[in-house]
Amino acid sequence: MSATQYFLRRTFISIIVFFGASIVIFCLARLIPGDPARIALGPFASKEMVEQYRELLHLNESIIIQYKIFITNLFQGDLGISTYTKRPVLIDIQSYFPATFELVLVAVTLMIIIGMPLGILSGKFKDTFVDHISRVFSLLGVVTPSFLWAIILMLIFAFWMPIFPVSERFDEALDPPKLVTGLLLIDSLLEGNFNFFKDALAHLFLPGLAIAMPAIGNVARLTRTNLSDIYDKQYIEFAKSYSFSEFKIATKYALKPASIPTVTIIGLDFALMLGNAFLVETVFVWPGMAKYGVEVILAKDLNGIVATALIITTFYLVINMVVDFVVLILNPRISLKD
Amino acid sequence: MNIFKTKSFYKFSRNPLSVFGLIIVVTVLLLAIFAPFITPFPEHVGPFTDFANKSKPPDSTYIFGTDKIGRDIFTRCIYGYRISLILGVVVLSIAVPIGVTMGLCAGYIGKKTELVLMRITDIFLAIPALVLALSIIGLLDRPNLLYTMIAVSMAWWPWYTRLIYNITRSIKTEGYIAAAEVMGASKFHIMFKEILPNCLPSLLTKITLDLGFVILVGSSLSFLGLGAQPPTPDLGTMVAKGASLLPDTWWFSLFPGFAILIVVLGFNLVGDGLKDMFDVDV
Repeated sequence: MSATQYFLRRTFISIIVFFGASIVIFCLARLIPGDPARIALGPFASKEMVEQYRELLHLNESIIIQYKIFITNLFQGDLGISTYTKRPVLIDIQSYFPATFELVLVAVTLMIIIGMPLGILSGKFKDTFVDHISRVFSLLGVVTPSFLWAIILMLIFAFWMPIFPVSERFDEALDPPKLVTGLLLIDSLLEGNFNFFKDALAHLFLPGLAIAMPAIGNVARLTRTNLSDIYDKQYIEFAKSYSFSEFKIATKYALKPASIPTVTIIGLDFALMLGNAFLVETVFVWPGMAKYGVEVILAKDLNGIVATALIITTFYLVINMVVDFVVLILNPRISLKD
Repeated sequence: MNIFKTKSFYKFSRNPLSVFGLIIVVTVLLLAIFAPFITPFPEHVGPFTDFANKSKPPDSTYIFGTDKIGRDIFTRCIYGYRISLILGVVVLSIAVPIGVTMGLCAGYIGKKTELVLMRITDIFLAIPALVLALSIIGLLDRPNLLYTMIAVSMAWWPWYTRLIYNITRSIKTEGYIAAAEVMGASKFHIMFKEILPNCLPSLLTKITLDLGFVILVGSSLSFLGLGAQPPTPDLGTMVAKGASLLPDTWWFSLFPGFAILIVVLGFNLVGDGLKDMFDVDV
């Protein structure tokens, strides 16, 4: 199978899973006991209002027709009107999603630039102090709820040692750049506004770290095992017998194959991080999908809930596709075989 | 057979971390069961108020401090363990049977059953667990503990389907399965009497690990205000109550937070020990 065929097949599978997920989410929204119209409007709405609302949501049609309407509208970029914000859901999501996206990107970056060196160090200095520290760290990372990480980091680095700002995305005193991508880091760079860039980065650091914490441990542990496996391989022995420098062996021969499982775990950890973003955003008063998600859930906003779940799922699917392609580039042998 | 004298138990007990985990788990269980006798102020569990002692930092009477209306946080944490453990047990008693049955059917029967069941599983796995649980709670009526349990179970079963499916596929070509088939054993008998017992070590290990993680996800949901409702002493809710009041009354959040950490750590260490003991991969 060529790379193009692989690409097409992988995309096709993702599209099928997307439709499957949309059916699951849609059915959950419609089959759960209770009248969605009544729940949305509250117990004091009149019968006529409820009936009108049912008409509006096409609730009187059969579920298959309802799904058809839903999916057709979806492809026209219409996710319905949010009963909570009274605006089109798509507009809401456009304003909240970039904040979460930026946060998760920072978290992934932190996870790689902290996790991989930690794993390399503990692989290199096996069974020494560094190794023990990194193992304790990875264990604690997995078992600590990420909202607790958020609270601990906030207490230490924002209150007791005020190095980082406490909450929100940027300092109110600064003028935000014109929104192009919605990602403040990129938008401020586009304008050449370095002051704002620094401020936005400082605001991103603590919540990003809190989200990355559970994943950093995973990455470190994986990198450690893989590196030690690869250092036992014959081609490393061979490179050593040519008296290549240790640095060259590490960077040229060992690190590339060792990073493949790490890239794979990034894809898997993404689900974890997207979930954790919900918790960390709450602590840091971050105006992202979590804020929106929790608000629409408490307000019983049917369209909002379905859209939030669907957007996050789509995001996760896309990331996993990207990860699969990166793995393919790193090691063309694996995936093309079957 | 005395389990304490087996080779596997020896292996388990030689690992100090696993033993440490076991000690944590047993202690938490005992604390939760005997909460009314151990805790200093059992009456502080419900809607109790004592404004003379409100928001007190930790001292010798109130070792974890008191909350906004003067209730002892230590007492509430211990009672919170009751809720957490019940949540873990109930969620897994719903999710495991569903997941196991689907995994056995998909793995053993194969063909169209396999295709349909595994695609459904894949689709559920494509939705991040916490987001799926959140949406289900959102769509149900008012948030409460029962709905949290249902929502987490719905997000949890696919992992068991995956696990059992993989094991079933690898052992269904074994000789004893063929022998049972030749003797005319029913599909039901082969799945539940021949294959399932061989899955038990992996299953037990995963259940132990997951008890911790279910508690973690459950507390995350209640942290967002979508779990047990006040005045029920729920650890996640308690952390959330304090989070908006940082940094002045840091003990509101930190102690319940660490209480969650400790129980998850305990189950995780025991699970890791079992993994080594049974030599399985989950």
